Amino acid sequence: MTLPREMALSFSGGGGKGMPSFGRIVGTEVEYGISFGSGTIGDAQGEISHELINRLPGLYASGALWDYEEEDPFLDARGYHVEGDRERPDRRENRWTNRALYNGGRLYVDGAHPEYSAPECTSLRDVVRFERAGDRLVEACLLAWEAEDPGRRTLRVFRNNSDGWGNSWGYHENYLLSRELPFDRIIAGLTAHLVSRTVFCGSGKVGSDRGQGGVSYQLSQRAEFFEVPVGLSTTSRRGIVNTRDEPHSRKEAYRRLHVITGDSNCSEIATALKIGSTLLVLRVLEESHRTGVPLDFPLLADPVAAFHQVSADLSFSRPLALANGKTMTVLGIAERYLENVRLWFSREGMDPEVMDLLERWAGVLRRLGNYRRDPSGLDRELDWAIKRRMIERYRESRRLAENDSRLRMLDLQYHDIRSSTGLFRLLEAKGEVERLLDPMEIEDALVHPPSDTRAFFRGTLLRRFPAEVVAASWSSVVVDDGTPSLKRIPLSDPFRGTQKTVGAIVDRAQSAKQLLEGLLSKGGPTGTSEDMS
Amino acid sequence: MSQKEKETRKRDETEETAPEPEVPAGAQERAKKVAEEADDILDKIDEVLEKNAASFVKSFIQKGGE
Repeated sequence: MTLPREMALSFSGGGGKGMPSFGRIVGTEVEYGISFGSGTIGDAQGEISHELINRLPGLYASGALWDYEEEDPFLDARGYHVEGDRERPDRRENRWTNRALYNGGRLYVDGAHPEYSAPECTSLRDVVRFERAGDRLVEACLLAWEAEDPGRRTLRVFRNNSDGWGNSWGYHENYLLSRELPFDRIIAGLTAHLVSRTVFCGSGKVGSDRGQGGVSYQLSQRAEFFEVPVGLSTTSRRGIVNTRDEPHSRKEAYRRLHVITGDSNCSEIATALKIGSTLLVLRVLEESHRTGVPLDFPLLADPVAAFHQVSADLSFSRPLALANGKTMTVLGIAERYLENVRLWFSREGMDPEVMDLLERWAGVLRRLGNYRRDPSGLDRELDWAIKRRMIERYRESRRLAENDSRLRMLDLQYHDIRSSTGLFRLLEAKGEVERLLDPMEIEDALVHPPSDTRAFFRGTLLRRFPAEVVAASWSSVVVDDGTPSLKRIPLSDPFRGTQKTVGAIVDRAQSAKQLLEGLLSKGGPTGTSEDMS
Repeated sequence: MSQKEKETRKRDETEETAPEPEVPAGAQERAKKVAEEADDILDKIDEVLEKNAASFVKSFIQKGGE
């Protein structure tokens, strides 16, 4: 099976005008920790992760492969004959490793961890609900795996980022930015935000992965694992600002900023604050660059040391050295960011989602300043505070010593994704934490893609035409229309392929073949877009 | 009482008693209700918390990811 080059068709129109809410494409990735019921897994981790995703019920994905695009020897016309590159999966390995989801996302195995990449979203609400949908999909895999395991073994799957023994796995945010924003502006403008936002988006951790004595509880799961201010690698010598440049879209127009410092939050509120604040800071950076207006964001003298310090300082009051020789507290830095963003949006105008986020952001910073006197409120919203309160209550009431293993177990099990054993899930069910979503919104996100990005086209085609859509990726859908050659439909612009622009054509089509004909007759320019802003 | 003892005592007192005057009257009732609900939650946690915690946290070692 070989593929032709891209078909000369694309989508006209798009989401650029009248864009909803934040008007930026965001996608998040969650890697899960996994073990047998006993906690062990050892060398079986990769194999079990593969088995797990292969238990995904047919309700959520077809047999489509992941299209490795130009790099993939199997699905690329030129690459098919290239031999010797063993990195590229053949059909069997591709299928064993990937599920292209009806919700537009991807479930796969990265290294030895199950990983869920949520579909591209433009509203904060969608980001949060599609991320949570990933947990539900993995939970469905987990239950199916256990039901079918001949050895009657059980598994545990954790939405966290460290094992307490110095190993970390990721949570990654992806923000589509204008290519016009120079990378050094991103580094200068964003670094102190990525460090300071830890106070509201850390997931909390008992102890230290790096043997820091005296750290009994810290804000971040991930902070300790960062070693350099800027870097490309995600697995060693991690940099606070990651330099990967792989836009999965038109490279000349877009950059996909890959943020790797974050923790996997369980709290919907913390997730929204993490993504929302970062998105708004990036928007202000873009706009200030475009208009030449200078910004007043703080520059840290030593971002790595600051990141470690912020994570371990539950008083939020230790001074952080700035590049200009002065010092600020972490809350001072966080407030500076908020003020800059608020000033910008109050001048430029804001929609209700931005307004709501700014209000929440300000409220959380205010309560953080008062946390030692009154932790209530925060311990219903922020993961590190929810978890800390739970652990402290349990420790006091059960009279546990500081080094009791149950404290670390409470930490781990907070992140257990299973509804019957996960402690965050328990607190949530008991009404102990604030929610942003109606549970039905998550249910919907298990099978239906976001309506306002190319994920709509990808996910809808996969579900509507499971026999004809043979592969998909972020930037393509590959269709077998019965002719000798497969057709690759390019999805090079993430704002295109929305329900608004192609929904009616997709609804009318009785087959993928008809759909292709419909799209071709609709015509439209290839690969150009006025939807950048 | 030596100066050092005084300081220690003062610090202890500060830590133990400082929050109380700050708590408004309505919040105390709320705190009581929250505490009762918390007991219920703690019992539930006992039901589901891994019984072999010591062995679990010792053996939970992952390959690095990303």
